[in-house]
Amino acid sequence: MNVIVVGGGKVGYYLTKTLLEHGHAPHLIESSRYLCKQLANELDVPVFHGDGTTLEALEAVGADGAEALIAVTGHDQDNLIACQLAKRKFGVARTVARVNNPKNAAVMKQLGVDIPISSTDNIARLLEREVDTAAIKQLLALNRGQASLSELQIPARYKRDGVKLMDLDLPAESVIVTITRNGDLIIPRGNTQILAGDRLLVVCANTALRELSKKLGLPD
Amino acid sequence: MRNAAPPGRNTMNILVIGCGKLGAELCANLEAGGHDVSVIDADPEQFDKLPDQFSGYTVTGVPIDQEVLKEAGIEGCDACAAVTADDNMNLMVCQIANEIFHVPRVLARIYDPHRGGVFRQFGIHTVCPTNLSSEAILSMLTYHERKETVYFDSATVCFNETAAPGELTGRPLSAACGENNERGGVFGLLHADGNMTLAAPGSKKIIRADDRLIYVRVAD
Repeated sequence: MNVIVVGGGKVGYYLTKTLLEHGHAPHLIESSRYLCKQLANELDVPVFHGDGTTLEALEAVGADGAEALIAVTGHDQDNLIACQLAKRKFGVARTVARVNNPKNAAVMKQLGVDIPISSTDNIARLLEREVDTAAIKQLLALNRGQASLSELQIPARYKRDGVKLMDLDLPAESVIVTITRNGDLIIPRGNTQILAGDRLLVVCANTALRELSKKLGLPD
Repeated sequence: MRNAAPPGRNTMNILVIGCGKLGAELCANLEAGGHDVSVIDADPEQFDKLPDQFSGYTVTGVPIDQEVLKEAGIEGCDACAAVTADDNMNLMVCQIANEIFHVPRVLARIYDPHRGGVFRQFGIHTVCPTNLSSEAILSMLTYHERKETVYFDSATVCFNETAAPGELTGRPLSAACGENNERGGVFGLLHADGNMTLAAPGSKKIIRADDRLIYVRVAD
């Protein structure tokens, strides 16, 4: 895949390296002449010295033939503009922006960035997932982390043993897909009970995961 | 000259982003014009540039943060001008003002003429000081004739007049139409008696030696 990487800092450097290892063809744009020299020495990719938020630079690295552009500078505004130019002027199909201020992630999405990635948000989410909801194991991220398919382990001593699903008042953005009990798979209905030791497979919006865990009466 | 607007008429709530030389001057002029002004800058020392009697609202913070914009009153403002020194910052703020806060009138100062041109196509209103200065200097250096500048929305149009070239004397005005040079296209023919004939493609008006040609061009 032809990929343009805007910004050759630490993120840009390791990203380019990883893309290379995965067999892609990254082109790097970096505005500092000094960094460009270093990058060109260390990476076997074309490095362009220039401002990745200008048409000239994007044209020079062949944006019209690129399948994706990833903007990873330290400035949200530069990442946004690079993505917008790539998308609207060169028809690049996939644009990814690093979001430095997590509050900007939604804005970037609304302004046309396909995949805004906030490392701050991701780390916080991972941390909360690991620390707060140990009974929940995320198996698969859906729609780039908006929701997930997760496995929930109901403890052996379950204070709500035998509760019916319909009495649980589960959050609207969640569905219990299957219950595994003693090796048997149950597709649950409203009157299905939850017993100690059950393993639940749920699809749930990430924002509702904590509420779901609370409603099920799982330990924090 | 600062003209005070009649009280109660055309008073607007205006948000200025960036308090550099232009931002501070703009704030002072807007306030003198009777408008309510609020200004954001990341560096509080920049507010020293405002006049001593400035009574508007100053907010310190990064302008591409919605909390900062809200604190500065973006939700209730009638117009917003992004005039920081960073083109991409201005573009991002303008898009946030447009798309998220639905500010009725939004303007960005963009130094890079190419970038300004692209984002103008995307529907963002821009003013390019590079184009304006270049136009002013060019016309001062090269033509000594009278010149008028007219603003339509965020577009700047320059009219300038010059003696009709000798080879056109005695020929119909239509002969001069379609002639485009660095002055722009022919707009009309100014006669010695002060009357003007508009340059229509089929105009049969004969150009006389004492007539003057009016050219028009879009400067920004």
